[in-house]
Amino acid sequence: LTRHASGVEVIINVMGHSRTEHALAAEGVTNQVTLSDQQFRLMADCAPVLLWLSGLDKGCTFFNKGWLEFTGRTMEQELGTGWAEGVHPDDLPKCLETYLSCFDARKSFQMEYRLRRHDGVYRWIIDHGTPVFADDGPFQGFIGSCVDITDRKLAEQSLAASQARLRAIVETAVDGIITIDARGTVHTINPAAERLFGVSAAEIVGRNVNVLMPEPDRSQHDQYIRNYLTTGVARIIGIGREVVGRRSDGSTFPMDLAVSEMRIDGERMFTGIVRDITDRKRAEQRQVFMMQELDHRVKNNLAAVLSIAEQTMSATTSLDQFRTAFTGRITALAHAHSALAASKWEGIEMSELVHLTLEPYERRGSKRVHAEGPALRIPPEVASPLCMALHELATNAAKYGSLSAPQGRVEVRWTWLQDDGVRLQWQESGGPSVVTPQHRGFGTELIEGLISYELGGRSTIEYDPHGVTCEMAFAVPGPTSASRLAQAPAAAIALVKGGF
Amino acid sequence: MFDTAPSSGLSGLRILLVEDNFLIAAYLKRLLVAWGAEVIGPAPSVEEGHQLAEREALNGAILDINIIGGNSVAIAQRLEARDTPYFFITGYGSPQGIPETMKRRTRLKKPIDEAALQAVIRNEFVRN
Repeated sequence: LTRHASGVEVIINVMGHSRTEHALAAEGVTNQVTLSDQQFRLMADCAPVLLWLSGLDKGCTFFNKGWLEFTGRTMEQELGTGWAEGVHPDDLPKCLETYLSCFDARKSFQMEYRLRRHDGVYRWIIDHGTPVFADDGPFQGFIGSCVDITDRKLAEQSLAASQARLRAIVETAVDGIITIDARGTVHTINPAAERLFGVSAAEIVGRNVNVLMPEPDRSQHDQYIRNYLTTGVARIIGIGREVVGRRSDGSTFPMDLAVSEMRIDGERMFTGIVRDITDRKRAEQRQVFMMQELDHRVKNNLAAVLSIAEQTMSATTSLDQFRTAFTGRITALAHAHSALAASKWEGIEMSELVHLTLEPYERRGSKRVHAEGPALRIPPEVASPLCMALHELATNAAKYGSLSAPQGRVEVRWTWLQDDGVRLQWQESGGPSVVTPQHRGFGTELIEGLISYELGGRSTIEYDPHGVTCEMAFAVPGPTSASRLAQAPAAAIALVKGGF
Repeated sequence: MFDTAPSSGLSGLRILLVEDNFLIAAYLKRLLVAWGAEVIGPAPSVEEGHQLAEREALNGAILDINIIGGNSVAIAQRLEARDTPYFFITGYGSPQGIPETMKRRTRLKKPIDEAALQAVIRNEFVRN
């Protein structure tokens, strides 16, 4: 085949394998067609592809009608190296390199590059180039045919982008995503599920998904799927439920499982989306525990109110007296409760506790109450009785002691003793001369009872003529044992078992 | 306000009281004393309650379930071993951490109704 479009006879090898055909021809096989230059042009121009020929100097010698119409240029513009002007500048170096190196090696090539169309738009084309040899052997140049593959390429790119997007979604999903077929065989597993179950995709893909479940689901899972496939009754597909997952180390964890069904190439497949709900279950348990604890506190407080009512009634002689004493005690209990609730039951500072008990007896701008001591967090079980004990001292001081006189003062000091012990001193001064009461009132009984009975401590009240003093010593448990509420139960998590 | 001892039928009963809330313990003690019973305790803790259950002659025991130092299961076991009747009082709706057999025991819920308390003591502690 010559590259001259100038009337020389051209031989088209219809199979495109010049050397083979050449050998065959030498053996006398005549599947060669001899065309006139005019016939060649006619054929080239009718072909629905872009064709070119090049000669021994590598320059192009012919472009068919398809090429010229595509580029919108004339034969003269395209001949030689003119065609290269239409190649996208970014693609040109590689295009030329491929062409020239294959030309020198007399090797056929296939390459993709962007070629400018008549409307100025660059279109991706695929160019097949083949060396041409004359009937009697010598190399004559190349013939090339090109097809516009822009649409295919765009479709490929968009498919690749959409696949990459989908892959990225699955790969980065927080929830575990596992696909299985109708036999239970794992097809895919995403990184989240790998982490969740402590397995790698390499280990699990191709194996039965039941290795990710504890018994009894493990041995029954195949049957779950069969039941679904034969009856169509879904127990989990399209519904989702709480199940137990099994890690590769054998440990189990509660998880939410949502299963959806799909058909891929006619095969029924299932997608399972799993989420570890250990934390949620724990929070739920804690909430139940909190509710029970709250219920307990409410009942205990009501019982305490009843008790206070009964005993205040026995210790008072008039309704008026009763009302004052009773409301004061209940209010002290309520104040302790409010402060503890505000602390989320983690305990309140001693200074705050003293302040909220003595606040009603403070006069604006006066320094009647002096509280001093180290920072000390009082846990709930200590705060309530302590608050009530201080209330009894305060009401007594307001009625008979230093707080009943304008110049009277109360000093409250506390210090650490050894082994979590705390000493609290109550010292009144500036009030009327103190007389020791003739019999112990309920208030005194309450103070001693609360401190010794509930706090395992001791208390001493002295009726010094200059002012009442009270000394209490009791244990304040450390922050870890501070509150029953802070301790979550270690009870086993009850879970709904199930599968498909 | 309180029933008097002669009509209560509880006169002379020695009753162990285990309750860690001082106010409730003091209140129950006053009730029991008013009914003519002798109160052993009250004890706020596992340790004290157990000592009294071990040492004292008792006609019965009233046990708060959650007390200082844990719960009253050990005390209840000691009482069972001595064949001493007992029942529980609790602020919890459903008791936790106690054996199934003990859950069949009578449980009075706080706040305690006086009449119910007296009836239960009579049923459980008075042997004819």
